[in-house]
Parts: sequence; C-alpha cells; structure tokens
Amino acid sequence: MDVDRGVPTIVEAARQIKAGMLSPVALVETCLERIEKYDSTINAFHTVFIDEARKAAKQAEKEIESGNYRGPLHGIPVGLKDVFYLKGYKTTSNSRVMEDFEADEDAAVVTRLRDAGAIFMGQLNTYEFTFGGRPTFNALYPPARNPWDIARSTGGSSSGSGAAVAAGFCLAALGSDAGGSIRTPSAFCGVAGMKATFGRVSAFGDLPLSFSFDCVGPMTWTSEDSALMLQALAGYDERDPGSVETSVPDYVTPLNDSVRGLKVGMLRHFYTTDYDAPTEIVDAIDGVGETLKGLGAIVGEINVSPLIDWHAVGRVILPAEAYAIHEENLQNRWEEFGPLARNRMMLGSLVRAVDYIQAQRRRTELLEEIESALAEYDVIITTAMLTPQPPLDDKAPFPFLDVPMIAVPFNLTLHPVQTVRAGFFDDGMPIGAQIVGRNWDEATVLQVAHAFEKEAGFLKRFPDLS
Amino acid sequence: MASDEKPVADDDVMFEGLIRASGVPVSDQEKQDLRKAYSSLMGLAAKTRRPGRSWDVRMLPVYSPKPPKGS
Repeated sequence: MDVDRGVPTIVEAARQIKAGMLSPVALVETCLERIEKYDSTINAFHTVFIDEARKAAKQAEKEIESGNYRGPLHGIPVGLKDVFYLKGYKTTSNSRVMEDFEADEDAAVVTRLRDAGAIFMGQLNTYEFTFGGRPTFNALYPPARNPWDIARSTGGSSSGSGAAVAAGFCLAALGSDAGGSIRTPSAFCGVAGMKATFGRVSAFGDLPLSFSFDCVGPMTWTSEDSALMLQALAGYDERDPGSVETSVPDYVTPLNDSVRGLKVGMLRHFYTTDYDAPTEIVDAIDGVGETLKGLGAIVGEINVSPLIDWHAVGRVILPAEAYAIHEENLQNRWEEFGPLARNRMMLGSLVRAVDYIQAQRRRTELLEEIESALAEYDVIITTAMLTPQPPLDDKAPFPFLDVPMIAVPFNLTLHPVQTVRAGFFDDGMPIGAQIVGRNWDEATVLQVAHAFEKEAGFLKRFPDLS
Repeated sequence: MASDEKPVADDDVMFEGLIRASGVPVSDQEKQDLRKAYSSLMGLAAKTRRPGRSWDVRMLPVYSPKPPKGS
C-alpha cells in the first residue's frame, strides 16, 4: 500500500482486491478515517455517505469472495461532484436555488460507476453552479481548500474532486468541465484529470452550465487510473443529445506502449509570449517536452492564434449559455444565488445574439487551427495554468476577465485533454500540463501521459495534511 | 433631416437596456461592477470578429440530424 498518500492508486488497489489481499471494507474504512481526520479542514465533501459506503463495501466484498469480480473498479472508493443526479439524494451544485432538488434517477456516469462496482463515498464540493474562476462564497457550502496549502485555491469548479483525490479521501472522483473545471483543479491540486472528446462520456444527469462545452470525466492520482475510470465511463447514451455513437477503444492495454516516434507539438506561445507565465511554469511545461524527447518522441513547436482569441470566444459563449440555462431563476430567485455566481452569470445577459454567433463562427476557425496541428502531431502539449494557485479568499467578482482561460481552447475545439503533474513551484505547489489529442483518440493522450508520469516521477510527492 | 454622422454604438445605452431587459433585480453596486465587466466583455467580443470573413465560416455547433441507425 502506498502509505505516503494514505491510500493506494486504483491500479494497485484493484490488483490487491482481485487477489484477495485487500478488502474493500478495509479500503473504505481507510478513506473514512482520512475524511474524519482531515476533511473538517479541507472541506472536500459536503456530505459523506458513511453508512452507505460501509454497506456497499461489505456487498462488494461478498460478491468478490463468491467469484463475482466485476473488474478494476469493483470495491474502489469514488467521490461524486455534487452536480450529478443521484437518486435518493439532493443534487445542489452548491446553490441555495437547488437546495431541495432531488432527481428521480441517476446520472449516466453514476449508473456506469455503480454497475462497475465502485463505492460512492459522498458528494463533493463545487463552485456554485460550476461557474469556474475563483471560489464562490456565500453559497450553500464553503469552498474546498487545497491540500497542498489550505490558504490557496483548489481551482474549480470541480474543487472538492481535486482536493479529495489529492488528500487521499477517495481513489477517484467525478468532475465536469465547461471551461477547465476538471483540468484546473487537477493542475492546482496536483492530480490527473481527463476531459474526453465532447460526446464520449454522457452528460445526462449532469447539471448543465454550457450546452456546447459541458463534459464529464474522471480525476485520479495517476493517468493510468484515469484510463481505468474512462473505460467505465465512456460510451453512447441516447439520453444525451451530445453523445456520439462510436466505438470505445481499449484505453488500458496500450498504456505501456512506447512513445518512441510519436510526434509532440509544444504550444509554447500560450504561456510565453501570449501570457507571461512565471519561469517555474515555463520550465515545467517545457520539461514535459524534454522528458518525452528523452523517451524517443519527436518534439516540435506549433503556432496558432494568440490565447486572447481563444479566451474571447470562450468568454462570450460560456456566460451566454449559462445565463440562458439559469435565466428564470436569476429573474425570480436572485437573492438565493451567491453574489459571485449570479454576477458571473449576469454577464451572459449582456451578450447579444450576434456576439454569440460571431463567437461560434470564430470557434469554427480556431477548431480548424488545432485540427491542422493535429494532422501533423499526435499530441499537443501546453500548460494547464498560467499563474500559481491564488489565495483562497480572493473575492474579485470577475477574475476570469483579467487572466486568459488556458483550458477553454479545448472546450472550443472539443478535443480530448489529460492534465498531468508537470513539476512544482519553488514553494512546493504543483504545476499541471495539458496533453491534447485528436478527437476520439484519448488512448494516445493517456499513453503519452502515463509515459511522462512514469519517467518524470513527480507523483512520488504528496501533500502534507498533518 | 438625417445627420451625416455615422452612428456609433453607445455602450452605456446598450448596457442599461440589456440589464433592464433582463428583468433581473441587480443592485446598484452589482450594476457598477457589471458595467466594468461589460466593457471587457465587449472588447473580447470584438476580437471574435474578422474583417471580410467569408459567410462560408459557419457557427459551431453544427446543426444537422444524425445519420439513421445502421447507415
């Protein structure tokens, strides 16, 4: 067992559970103990399913002992971002507006994890209505804290998911991503996170923020674990209009294939000339390319439109779609929203139809730029963060207008992206990189991510919760 | 008689109108914050335009029906 983090990876736990060397009951107890000991500080969960998790663990143990092993997620403790329908429980998206909302069925991803034998540990914090940027205060629940430094932001909006995985409260968590909400907290909390190709994972039962950006995906300690999770989550669902009926490849077997000869395009100008990121970020992201080069990859550099162009498109589309979704509640239940969330959404009321359509047309042009780059390169690498993790208590109403969104380009283009830990700041906070692949080719993205993680060895450092 | 001057979009009028039209009860302080943000937003919206852009550049997402099953 990986005692430094307090819990094993999914791969290690699954191997031991299958061999009868680790009991799901013991694993769940370990997670519950860690939650009990540390989560009053971290605030990753707002609700912990203590009795339900224990009961599910016993059931899993019984099934496995009787020869009904379902696969690598059987008996694995998982946390759920509080945006997914969960029958029998409230789904709040951390908003007083949703305080009494209870869906009468599970989200598609919840069903898939349940069928795979995963054990739900509880509901994880998010920014109100998943509107990212900085933490929302005066919402239903207080914001999660970063396990690497509790005075710093986790990033969002899958804030509790990033914190819980980093803190070893569960082995994986579900997140959702309309502008970086999986990738930013993954980078800020030093964990791995996958935003798959738009349409790969059903968003049915995910409270929406943006119809044309919303993706659902896993957050884990390693990219190898992300592959196991994605294998269970991916697949067509006719209840999601964005879901695409296409075959799901094997994500796990090719993970250890060599990256020799793969072509890697470094997208450096996003974090060097378009935005003057700190030297530590520049060095860490450049270092990902160097590491892959050392493994035999062919590394070049690509150029696309400046980051501000991508940011502009995202900044027009995202609040417009969010406002359209929440308009009725904003008009009638204004006082029930937290001030940060409602004002961020109100920006959408200021976007005219022509602004929205011009942004969607620019999106078409930008998508073609990435498609062209990926015709030459197997993957693209850029940073997942432009600044260090900001202070938790920064309450600026519109921070996202000042710093360009580094994750949103690949929401615009729909491509799959894996966030990996790329290094550390001098103060010990983690730095994250994005590995972007061709549409539907999450397998190569995960292969590259896994190869980098193994070679770089950055995952051997853990947050100190004591 | 019509003025010879080319009309210029008035952002203040636009902002006031859009906020009022939204029907959302924004406070005075929030309105001040939103007015600043609106300027930034319109600056960004301008960046999504391209002079002489062909009308062949369509918007995403593409609205077309999915192919029939089995095709």
